[in-house]
Amino acid sequence: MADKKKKNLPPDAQEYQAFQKQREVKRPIFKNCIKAFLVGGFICFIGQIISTFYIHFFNFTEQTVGNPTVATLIFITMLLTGFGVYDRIGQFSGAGSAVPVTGFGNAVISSAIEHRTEGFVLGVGSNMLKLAGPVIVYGVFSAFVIALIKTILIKWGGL
Amino acid sequence: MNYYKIVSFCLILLLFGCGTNSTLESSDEENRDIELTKISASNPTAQHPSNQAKEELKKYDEITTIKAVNTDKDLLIAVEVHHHDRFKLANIRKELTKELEKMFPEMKVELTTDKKIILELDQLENKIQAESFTKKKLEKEIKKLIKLSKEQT
Repeated sequence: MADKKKKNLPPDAQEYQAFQKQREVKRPIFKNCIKAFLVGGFICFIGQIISTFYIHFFNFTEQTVGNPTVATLIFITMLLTGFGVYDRIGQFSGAGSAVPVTGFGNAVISSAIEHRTEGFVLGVGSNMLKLAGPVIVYGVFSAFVIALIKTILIKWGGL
Repeated sequence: MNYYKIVSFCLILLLFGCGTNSTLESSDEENRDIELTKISASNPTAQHPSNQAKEELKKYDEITTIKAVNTDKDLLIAVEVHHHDRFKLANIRKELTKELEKMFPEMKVELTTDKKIILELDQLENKIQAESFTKKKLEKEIKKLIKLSKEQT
């Protein structure tokens, strides 16, 4: 699609595009992937430690330990966001810190902090879920689609 | 286009993950290091069925730990499987439950692979061995564990 758009541009603009493509600093995609993999994996490792802790010392099973683990991780993220540490982690690792549930927590909490000056209702209340809202919407929607596919496969495909 | 290539590649990866074969392999080797606590059968809380079930489950290669405790009516078994066999965890659970139900038709068999239940059953086994548990206390304890293993949220 991007190619089609480019063909409609006037010739000097096309020339400029080619020129800037040459000069543009290449993104180190592979390096970024490795960083994201390591940091994301480390966050999950911490999550696993927390859930093992809950299983051993509290009355949670593998089924039920998910909720307190997520709550604890989001609480830790809240502190890290408030102290400005999570921004650095996000800058370093990109998707590695945005994809786990801590990234979701960070999106909510940082926008709550940012819009604090606009008041509690129109500032914090309305802006808190501005970035996290789409996550919920598309999460629910894709879960629905997957459930639909699974149901069809089981009912008709005999899986 | 390139985009379709990536999507189809991801799909292929995903579908490969689904295609694990579900048959359990059993071997006759007895020299694997599964720790079994045989509980004496002389006290009022007889653990005959548990010991029998442990012997039966020992045959499977996938299983690394087996803990089992029973009352007159209920048999609660917790197994741990090798890590790469966790992909077929649901299948393993289903097949083992079916087999044990065939073995003990007069009992209610609960099989779980939950780490928490393994820990709790380990403690319970030790307790049964150390002190003579009254029948009622054991029944209460097992009821509690079965309820815990069925909790969803």
